[in-house]
Amino acid sequence: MNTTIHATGLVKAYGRQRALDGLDLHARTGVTGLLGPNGAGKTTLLRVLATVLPADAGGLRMLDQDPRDPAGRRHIRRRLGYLPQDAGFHRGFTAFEAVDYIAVLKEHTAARARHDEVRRVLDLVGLADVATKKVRALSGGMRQRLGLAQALLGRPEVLVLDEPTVGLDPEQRMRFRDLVSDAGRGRTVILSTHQTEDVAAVCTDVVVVKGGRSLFTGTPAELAEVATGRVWVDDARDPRAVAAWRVGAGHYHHVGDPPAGAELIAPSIEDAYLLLLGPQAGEGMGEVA
Amino acid sequence: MLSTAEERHVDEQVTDGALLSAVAQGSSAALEVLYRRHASWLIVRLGRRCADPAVVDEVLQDTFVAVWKGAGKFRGGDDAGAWLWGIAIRRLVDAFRRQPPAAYPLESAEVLGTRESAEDLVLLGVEHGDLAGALHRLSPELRAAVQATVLDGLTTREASRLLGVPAGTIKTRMMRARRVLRKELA
Amino acid sequence: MTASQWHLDPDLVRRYADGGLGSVLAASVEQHLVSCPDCRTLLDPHVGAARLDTVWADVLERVEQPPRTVLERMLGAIGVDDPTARLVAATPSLRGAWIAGVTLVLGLALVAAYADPQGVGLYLVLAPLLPLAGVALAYGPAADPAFEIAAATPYSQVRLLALRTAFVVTTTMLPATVAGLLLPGSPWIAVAWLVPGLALTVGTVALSTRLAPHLAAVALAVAWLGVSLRALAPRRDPLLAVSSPVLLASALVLATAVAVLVVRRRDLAELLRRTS
Repeated sequence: MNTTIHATGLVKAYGRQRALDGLDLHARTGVTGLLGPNGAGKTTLLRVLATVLPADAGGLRMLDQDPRDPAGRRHIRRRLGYLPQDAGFHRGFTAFEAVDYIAVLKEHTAARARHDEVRRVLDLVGLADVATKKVRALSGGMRQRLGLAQALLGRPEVLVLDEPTVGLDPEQRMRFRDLVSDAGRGRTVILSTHQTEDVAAVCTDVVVVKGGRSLFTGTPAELAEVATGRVWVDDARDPRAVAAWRVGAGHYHHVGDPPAGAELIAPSIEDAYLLLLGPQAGEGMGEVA
Repeated sequence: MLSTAEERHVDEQVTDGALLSAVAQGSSAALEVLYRRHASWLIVRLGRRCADPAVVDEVLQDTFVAVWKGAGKFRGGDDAGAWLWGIAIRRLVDAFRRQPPAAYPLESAEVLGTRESAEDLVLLGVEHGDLAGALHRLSPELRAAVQATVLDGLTTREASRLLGVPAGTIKTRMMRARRVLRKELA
Repeated sequence: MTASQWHLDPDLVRRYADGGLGSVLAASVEQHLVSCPDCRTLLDPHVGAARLDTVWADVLERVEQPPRTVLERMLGAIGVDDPTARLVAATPSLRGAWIAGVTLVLGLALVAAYADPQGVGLYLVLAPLLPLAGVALAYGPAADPAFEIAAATPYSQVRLLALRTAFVVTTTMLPATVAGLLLPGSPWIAVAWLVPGLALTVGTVALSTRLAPHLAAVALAVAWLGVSLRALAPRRDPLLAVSSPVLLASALVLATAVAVLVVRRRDLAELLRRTS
C-alpha cells in the first residue's frame, strides 16, 4: 500500500498537559478518519500534520519529507491542502477574493491561471454562483465549503480537514461527504470527526484517538468487528454494561461484556467506538450505565 | 448539480427577463445561460459589420461584461434580443473609435450579382412591404447608411464611426437615400 | 412590432451566416432575429463551439474578478505586482476602519496641540504608537482570520510579515509626519517621533519571535507609555523632554531589534511558527 504519512510516537505538550502522548498514525491513499471525543488531541495532530505546529518529539514523515526541515516543510506545503477548524476569511473579501488570496500564498502567481484555478475549486464545491458575494454574506454551510475550496487549490496530494462536517445541517452534511469522498480518490485525506456516521459514510480507514494516543487503526469494518459478541439487547438496562441506551419500545441496546444467554446482535462502528473509549464515552448519549 | 439535458430544459423555460434579474443579483450562471442563448446570432450579426473576428470576439466579450454591470437596467419584458443588440452595436462603435477599421465590409460584387429569389422577396414583402424593393435599388453606400441609422438605430455620429466615414457624409447619404426611397415608395 | 408569421429556413440562415446574402435580405433576417428566439437557435451550428467557449472564459475572467480595490490599484500604479497587491490588500489593518482610526488619533493630537502648548506632547507620545498598533493588527492569529490557513502554505511567513509591516509603516508614517508638520512650533517635531516609531515597530517584529505579535505590541506600548509620560511630566518643553533621553533609549531599542533580526534571520520562520 502507498503510505503517505508515517507518524510514530508524536508528542506535543502545552505546559504540563500532553495533547499528543506518543501517537502513531499511518495513512495511505483514501480517506482516513480520526475518531475521538473532544480534547482527544485530534486538532493538535492535524495541526502538526498541516506543518503549522512543530511536534515536541516523535518521528514524522509525509510524502517522503521531514516537516522539521525547512526545505522538506516547503515541499510538503506545496502538496498539501488544509481546512482548519473555524477556517476564517477576511469578511470584506468576496468568496472569489478570499480563495484567490490563499491561491497567491500557494504560489499561484500568474493571474489568469490563478483565477481559472480559483473558479475551478469554487465550481467543485458548488459555490461558482456566489463567487462575487462577500464572505460575510455567506451562510455557515457555504463558508465551510469555501474552506474546502481553498484546500483543494492546486490539486494537493494530501488533504487535512479538521471537523469538516461540524455546523452543517443534515442535507449539507450529505453533500459535504460526497465532496470529501470524491476528493479522496487518488489522494490521502485525513479528517477528524466525532461523528461515527461520517466514518461509516466516507472513510476507508479509521483511527480512534483518545488522550493523545491512538487506540485503534484499521478499516471501518475492522473497527466494527472489535465489538463482535459484545453488543446485545435486553428488556431491562444492565448496569454492568460499558454503555446502554433505550431503543424502540422498552428495549435497551448494550455494549460491554454480555451476560450468559444474552441476545447478541451485529455490532456497528459506534458500538466499537464506545467500547474502545470505555465508560465515560457515553456522555451526551442519553442513558449511560 | 443538474444534468445537461435537465439544465437545458430548465433554461428554456426561463425568460431573458428572469435571467437578467438573476444576473443583476450577481449570478454568473444566469449570465452564462443568457450568453449561450444569444452569443451565436450576435457574433454573426457583428461579423457582418466588422471583418476582423478578433474585434468581433472582443466586442462580444465587452457586450456581456456590460450586461453583467447593467442587467438591472433591463426593462424590456421577456425577450432581450433587441436590448442586447443595442449594447453590442454600441460596443462595436466604441471598438472602432479606439481602432478605426480598414474598411466597412460593403457587399462584394459577387454577392451583389446574385439576385435574391422571387420567393425570398415575397417573404420580405410580408414583413416590410415595398420598402425591401426600394432598399434594394439603393447603392451599397446609401444602404449601409440606412442600415446603420434606421435598422441598427445608431445616431449619425455613431454611424459615422461604424462605417468609417465623416458624420457629414452620413448626413448627405441619408438625405440622398431618403430622396430615393420617397420617390420609390410614392 | 408584431410577432412575425414567417420564420427563417435553414438555407437562408446558412447564406446569412456565410455572408452570402444581400444586405436587404440580410437586414430583413436581422430584423426577424431580434424578436424571434426560435430562429436565433438556427445560428448555433454556424458558430464554432470553441470560439464561444473562449469568449465566455474571457467574459467570466472579467466578471468574476471584481474590480480591484482602490488600494490594489494604487499599489499597481506604483509598480507592485498583482499577487503582492492581493497579499497587502488582505492586511487587516489596512482596511478602512484602521485608516479612520489613524486620522482620528492624529486629528485629536492636533487639536490638543493647538489648545495647549503641552498638547504637543500628546502627539509625540501617540504618533509612535500608530505604526506599532498597525503592525500588531497586520499579522498573527489574533488579527488575521485566515492566519491558520496561511500558515500551512508554502509562502514565507517572514516575507508576509515583512511585506505587511512595510506597508503599514508607510501608510501610518506619512499621515503622522504630515500632522507633525501642521503642529505649532518646530518642524523637527515631525521628525522627532520617527526614531521611537521605528524602534517600536521593528521591536515588535523582533519580539514576535518570542511572543504572539499582538502581545509583543502591547508589551512595547506599555513600556513606551511609561518612559515617555515620565519624561514629559516635569519639563516645560515637550519636544526637549521627549527628544534627548527618550530618543537615545529608542535608538538603542531600534539598534537591538535590528541586530536581533539580522542575527536570527535564518531561524525567523521557525521562531514565528512557535509563537503562532
